[in-house]
Amino acid sequence: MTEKDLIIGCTKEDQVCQRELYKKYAGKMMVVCMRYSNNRMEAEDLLQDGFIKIFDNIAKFKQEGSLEGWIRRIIVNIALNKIRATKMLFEDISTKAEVFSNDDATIVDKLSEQDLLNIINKLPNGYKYVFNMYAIEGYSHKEIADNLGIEEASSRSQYAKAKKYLQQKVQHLEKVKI
Amino acid sequence: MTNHNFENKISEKLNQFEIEPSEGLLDLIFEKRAAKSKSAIKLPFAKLAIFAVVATLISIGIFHYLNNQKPEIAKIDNLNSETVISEKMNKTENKTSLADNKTDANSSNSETLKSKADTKVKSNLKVDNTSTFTNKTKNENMFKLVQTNLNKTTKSGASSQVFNISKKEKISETNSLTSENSENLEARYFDIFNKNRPVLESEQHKGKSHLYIYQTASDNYVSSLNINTLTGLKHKMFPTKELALSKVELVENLHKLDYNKPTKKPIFIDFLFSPGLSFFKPKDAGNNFQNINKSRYNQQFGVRISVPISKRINVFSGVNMAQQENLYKGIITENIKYTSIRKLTGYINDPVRGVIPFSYQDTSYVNKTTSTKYNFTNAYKLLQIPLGLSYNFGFKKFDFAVNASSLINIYTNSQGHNIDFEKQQTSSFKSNKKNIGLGACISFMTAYRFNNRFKFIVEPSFNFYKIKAQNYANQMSESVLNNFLTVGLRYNLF
Repeated sequence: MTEKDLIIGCTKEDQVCQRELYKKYAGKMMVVCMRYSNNRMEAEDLLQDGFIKIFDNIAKFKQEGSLEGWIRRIIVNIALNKIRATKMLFEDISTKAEVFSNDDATIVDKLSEQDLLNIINKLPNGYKYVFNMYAIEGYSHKEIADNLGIEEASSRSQYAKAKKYLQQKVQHLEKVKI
Repeated sequence: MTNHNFENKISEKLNQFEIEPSEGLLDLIFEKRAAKSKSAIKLPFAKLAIFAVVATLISIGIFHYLNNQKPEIAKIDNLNSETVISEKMNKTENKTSLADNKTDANSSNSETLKSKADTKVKSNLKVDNTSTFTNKTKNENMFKLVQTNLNKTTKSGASSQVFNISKKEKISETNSLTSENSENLEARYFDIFNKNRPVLESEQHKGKSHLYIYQTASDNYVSSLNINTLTGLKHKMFPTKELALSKVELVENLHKLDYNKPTKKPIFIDFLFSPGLSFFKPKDAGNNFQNINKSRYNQQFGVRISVPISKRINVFSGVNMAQQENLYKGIITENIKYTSIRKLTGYINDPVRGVIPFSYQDTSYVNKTTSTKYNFTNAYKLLQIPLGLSYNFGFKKFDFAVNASSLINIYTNSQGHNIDFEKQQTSSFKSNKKNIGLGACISFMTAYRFNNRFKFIVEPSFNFYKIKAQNYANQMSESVLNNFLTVGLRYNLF
């Protein structure tokens, strides 16, 4: 079944197509949800709300961009809506003022996806959201500031801290593995 | 660059990563969506119910306002009416003087009397008009005054044209007099000790309805008293007796009263609530369907507008908000015939080669009965537009009507389950596709009249339609028979 057939089927409320669409994208979107939540239960709630919205609005998808991108955007928006409803705290995270080697990227390669996800999830929520939005979703700091209701400068500094923290953790994990 | 690589690598890795969500999550999503659409279905009902209540309250309010408001006395522009009367009086004076010159030039005494009488009439009428007919007492006084003046004028030999007052005044007087209550009217017309009691000119009687025509102050001005034991006492004034007789009808019952109005065609607005039991049958279900509970409570709200096109026939249309729910609850038993082929092994005892095994097949036909338990509801949300005719008749305070209409059903939402009778399986469906279907309805209305405006309606109705499967997500066509007991309120708009 092609992507177009899937969309047409979902528009007609065909459950076979809806199941197919879910099967195709639920795994990837679950990872997105995990990145914006504190536990699996929260992530599944997000995913559930996301797919309800996707099935309700699939007729609005204009097939100009990729379907996956459109689905991801809906999921992230739902996550951000939930985040907005809660007060975001930027706890202070201690980062050693070390200069890291240029091998960070190669270390990331060596780590499993689950390990990476775990490291990101260990970040305090505020930092986690900023990092996710900037590094993975590709939002600008201005967009992040608008979405999370924080200052643009604050977004920049939090991102820098989050990144540093992650680099530390990645290196530490690598050392432990060795 | 390195830093960006770090982010890109994380992004790349995480974007490729997949985590399987819990198994039942998709079913939960379907359930949530179904529940959401169900609540969305209920909303228009709530809106319509609120609209119906508000409309009813407004109607009741308008009715009370109109009922409590005493007929507004026509306020005549004092200056204008005075001018009219003055002009009339001048004309009358001229005519009188001309007539007098022709008839008797020598009757100076009578002329003096005439002029005196005219002056009095003029001044009295002026006083009367400046009082603007604002209360009953004044009207009463005016009535007496006109009578007194009539006597005086007749005595003085003046023409009756003196009282040929303008139409404007007649209307105002009529209105003011009509505003009197029954007690005053009865006192005036039936109290034999009343000196000013008008002279009865003619009377007509029909059943409980009685019409009396009285002479009033002017020859061109008669008073009609229409008494109906059901509607009460009505008083009207007309310029001529003929007009009075043509306008005031003797009506024996209220039903006739509604339809005998040649100039004012009523419009009936009905606010209806129809609860009832629905029966349905899926097409091609056959005998399998015997054990399924086929009845289900359903309800609808509606507004209907009827207009009389003849004395007995009304044409009507409207809109109903309906939700049709068909409950499948019970056990469906299916008799399945199937062929059973068994592979068997036989043995041949060969004296030379010993025991030789061989295979053969045993074919048998088996009857198998399977039972499947079902419990689900197929729900359709629809807008129903009836187009029909009604035959009306009445008895005392009751109106009856036989209504027959075709139904245009606009389906806006459907959801439920399909049964695959062969596989004994169900699969869910849900669709927001809009479709049009047809149906028919017959109903028997009884309306009890509270008053001229409101009637209480009780109306058993039967409507029948088919929900065509191919138009919706459902695979089974369903024939539906709804037995409603409609209750409602009829508002008469004149």
